[in-house]
Amino acid sequence: MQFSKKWIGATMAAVLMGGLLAGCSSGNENASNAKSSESAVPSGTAAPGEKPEDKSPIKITWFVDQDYYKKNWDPENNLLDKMITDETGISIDFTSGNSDKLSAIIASGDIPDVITLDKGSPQRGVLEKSGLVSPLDELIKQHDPDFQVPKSMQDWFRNPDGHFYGFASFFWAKESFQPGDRIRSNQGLYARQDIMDQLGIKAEDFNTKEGLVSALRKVKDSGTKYNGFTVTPAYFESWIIGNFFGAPREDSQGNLIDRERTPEMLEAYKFLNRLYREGLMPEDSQTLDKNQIQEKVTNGAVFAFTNRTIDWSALYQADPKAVFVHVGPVAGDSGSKQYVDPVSSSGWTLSMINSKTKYPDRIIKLFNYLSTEEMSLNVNYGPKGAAWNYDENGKVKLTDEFNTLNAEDANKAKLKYGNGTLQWLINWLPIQRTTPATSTEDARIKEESTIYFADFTYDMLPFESITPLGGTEEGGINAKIEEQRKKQRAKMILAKSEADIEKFFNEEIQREEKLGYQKLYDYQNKQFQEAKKALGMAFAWPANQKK
Amino acid sequence: MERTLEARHSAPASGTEGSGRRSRWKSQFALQSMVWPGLLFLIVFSYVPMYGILIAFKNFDLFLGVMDSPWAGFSHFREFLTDPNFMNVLRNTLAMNLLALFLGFPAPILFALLLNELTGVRFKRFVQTISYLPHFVSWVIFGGLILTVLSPSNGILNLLIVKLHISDEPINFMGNPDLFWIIMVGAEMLKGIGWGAIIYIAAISGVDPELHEAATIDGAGRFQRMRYVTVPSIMGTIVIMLIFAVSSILNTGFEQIMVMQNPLNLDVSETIDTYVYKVGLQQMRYSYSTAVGLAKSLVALVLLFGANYVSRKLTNNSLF
Amino acid sequence: MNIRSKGDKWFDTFNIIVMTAIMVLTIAPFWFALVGSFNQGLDYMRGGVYFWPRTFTLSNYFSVFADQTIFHAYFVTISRTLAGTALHVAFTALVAYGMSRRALAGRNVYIVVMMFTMFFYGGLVPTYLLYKDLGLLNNFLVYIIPTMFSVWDMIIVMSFFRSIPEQIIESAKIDGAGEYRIFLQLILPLTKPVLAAIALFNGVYHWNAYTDAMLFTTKEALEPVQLFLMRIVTDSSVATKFGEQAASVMPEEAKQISPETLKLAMMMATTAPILVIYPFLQKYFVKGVLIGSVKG
Repeated sequence: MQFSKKWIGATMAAVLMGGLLAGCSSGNENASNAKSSESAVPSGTAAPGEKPEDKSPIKITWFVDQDYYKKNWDPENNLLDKMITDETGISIDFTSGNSDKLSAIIASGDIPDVITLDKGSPQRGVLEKSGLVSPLDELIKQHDPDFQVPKSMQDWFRNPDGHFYGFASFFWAKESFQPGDRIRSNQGLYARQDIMDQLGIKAEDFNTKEGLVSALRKVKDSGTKYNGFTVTPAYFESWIIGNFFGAPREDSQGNLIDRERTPEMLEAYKFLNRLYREGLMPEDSQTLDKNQIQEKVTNGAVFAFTNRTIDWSALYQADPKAVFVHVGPVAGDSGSKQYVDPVSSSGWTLSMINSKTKYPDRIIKLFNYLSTEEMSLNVNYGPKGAAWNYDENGKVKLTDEFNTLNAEDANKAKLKYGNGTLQWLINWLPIQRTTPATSTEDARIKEESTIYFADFTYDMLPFESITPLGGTEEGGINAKIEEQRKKQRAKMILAKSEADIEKFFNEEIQREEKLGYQKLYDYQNKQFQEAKKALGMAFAWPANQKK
Repeated sequence: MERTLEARHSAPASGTEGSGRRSRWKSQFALQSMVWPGLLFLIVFSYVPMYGILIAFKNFDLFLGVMDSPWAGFSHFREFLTDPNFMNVLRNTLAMNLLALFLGFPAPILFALLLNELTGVRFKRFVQTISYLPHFVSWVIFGGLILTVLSPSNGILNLLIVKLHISDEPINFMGNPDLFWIIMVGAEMLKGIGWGAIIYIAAISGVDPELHEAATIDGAGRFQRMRYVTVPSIMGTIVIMLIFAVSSILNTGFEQIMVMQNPLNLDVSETIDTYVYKVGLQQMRYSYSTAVGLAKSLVALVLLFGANYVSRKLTNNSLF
Repeated sequence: MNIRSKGDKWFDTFNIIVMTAIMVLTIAPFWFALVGSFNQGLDYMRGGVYFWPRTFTLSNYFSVFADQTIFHAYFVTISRTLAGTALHVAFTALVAYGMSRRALAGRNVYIVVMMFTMFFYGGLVPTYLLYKDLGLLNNFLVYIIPTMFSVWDMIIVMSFFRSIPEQIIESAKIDGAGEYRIFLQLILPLTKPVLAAIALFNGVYHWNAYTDAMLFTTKEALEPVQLFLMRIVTDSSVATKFGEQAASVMPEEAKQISPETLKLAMMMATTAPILVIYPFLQKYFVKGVLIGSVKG
């Protein structure tokens, strides 16, 4: 045991080193904690009275539960780190790991000053209940009353105890939207412009089922080849087609609807099955993964697809005429409005502050600082002035030095400018507003289609609460049902007849009941109702809201 | 067989029960002192943390810790065993493992034997070096290559099949549930043959050349020497590897199956490991995952003892 | 005689054909990966790059080696591989020798106690707390100590030790040699092939290991090269998940690399050193180690 104590001592010493190096300031910190930070006696570089804020050098520890994440605080070479350390006095000692490591750290009771974790991870609830992290609202009241956290974020992450504990990254706060702001979607309907022109197909043709089928049939019948590859008419995803057909998510009483069980979804399966049976969508649409489809797309061998995350840049690079433009989207028999799901609006990660940290005042101010609009741009591109400046239209213009280094070696650029290396408190809205004027045709078309499909999005926030938290029984049921649905989807789309589709559709409902569907649905509906209440809305689905 | 030492090594020096035992311990202090550090190591690093297994019988709550989490009895075991998908994933797991046992297990042995018979030393070394290269290629990349080769639209294999008129239509290998098991086992064999052979190559290196010389004088050909000299000499190693292969019959490679899985073959490709990963670990349901892991371990332990017993009876080779 | 040697010839020819086939099949995926690592990233995504790079570039490798701290990471990896493997082989062999002797009292109990640990694992949290108490967190020794013994390797080595004729040991004993001397001077030299095999297995394990570094260390000074590279690769694929628009405004040249080609370059950067070392181990895999000793 002698051995172990010695090593614990050594480790502790290493951890504390930062604090000790900070010198006498840390002692002052502790003493002044009880009072408001304004009265703290600043020591070191900042002269008293000149600036009210304490910028004495301190070092904080910060854990991120993404195992790929790595950042060495390097104010000497890294311009972003230099900027933050210069302006706040804080150096950050980042560590990272997967959620298992986070569990272990929590179990050991010895957590770092700041923890960033996925908003859906089970550790979030554990931390919030455990008293290991401070309520942010209290810290703000006490130390930084000017810190404006969007109300929707506070409401969304508020616990039953009335407090909220984490600041979310990539959160789309609706109340802070300005005219022109929109949330984008990764769903859509895209087709090759050059082939459309060649065969006389128009974007409007894709608005109806018959129009879409005849457009795809033209591609098939013409036997169009590109680069020696026979062009496949379509790779469509069933859930996106279901959205286009207007599958609702809430009934007229305000209860949650499972889209997968709606008539619109059945219609989508029948439609995709028709495409399959007519040879317009191949069997391998059900077996290829996204990368393999992307490979086909960038080879020019695909005419139309629905997954916006497929990047066709490589195709454009080889042939500037081969671009994908937004078309349609197709509408269903009911004639209801088409929808697409936006990207998650409740954000990605939450950052929390250790309740036993020595520097609660400094860290909450750091949160405030890092979440400002300009810092969001700085953490995304690197510091203003060095990596970018505003152009005459108020858009971001990257500097030549940055562009040169980034082209030469993107990782080197990251080490120098810190672009994209500290996004844990980022707000994407200001970045979207100032997106650099696009230079290439390809980028212009992409931007245009993003705007186009943004009009089909809806406020998805209340629906984001229905994903069961990790570690729960409902989470298990949900995963089992998802697996089951994957199989059944493929069966329906590749079915031999329409009667088979309905058979599979009903069969699936029965199987899901055995897997505990009702329990999952009750949970989801409860979550959904609570979310609506927290957000102060009676109805969440646009069609219901209009009533 | 000659290599069983059990029979040959009868009990050492006899004496009265008590004093004999004491003197036996004393006389083998050196021998015991070699083994004890290993036991101590396992007690510290394996047995001490083993209380973590308790969460299989609890509803593990990270906040409460292993000891204070509420008991759940056998509910996690029950959930797995009564799952409507249980029979399906069990069948797939067993099918792929049995296939691997019959095809995949002998492959590295045959490879090692054939390699040993190569006459050119340079060629032999070259082949040996090359053969273990795929071991270093991750399954994501290796699986991707296999999928490309088998692709119905532009895979080399399908181009050949259509050109040679074996079939008029290209075959969607990965979409055909009947082919999945054999493709999977084949891919594993291809990737692991060289690496798996290392241990047999080491065993063959230990074979007494005099035995070969004697056999040659007796007029044995190459094949006969391989059959009657080399194989019996490495039988001990083969049996040990086989016993462990049998005991791990509920384990399947995880990454490789995830890479090759798609909705069309899910009915035959879902194994215990992939299923529990998806509905347990990925959902961070630690208690459930631990319970299934524990159940699998118990089966493995039974199989290990069983295989060991059978092997001792049949071949006189055994682990213990 | 003639017929037999004719049979041998046929056998040899057959053998060479089979071996060549296996060689081609096994080298192909490795070669494709090597070629891919020298290909431009975006171009690689179009598929069809197999036998030779279509658009040659060194960008992937530049990216892997951009951060100079990688050389320190290599140092950590080499240190743990050398120290870890040496300790592992020595310790495992020592225990295996003890266990190989039928005379060992309590042998059957020991083996069951040992094998039990192959099947049951307490999980990460208890392990983490144990390492914390032992002072192994953030300590180089966390790479070496928990891996210094493996029951599986012990069993393999033990089975080799058992294949040594008992009379060798007996005669050494008559000459007055103690167990440790027999182990060191007699048994170890006789079983070099299996020790080389274990060293290879364990060495490759150490070389590729990063989960222990990820879970139990936080200091950069302890970061092994695999963790270092794993982060570069995952980073470049996660980065676009939320900041997609930022990626699309990057100049075209920045698309020289893609997560796929970067992954291949990384694989090569970590595999190459093993390929260099292997021939040195290979000499132990030659025939007839045993014979010299029995005669002498």
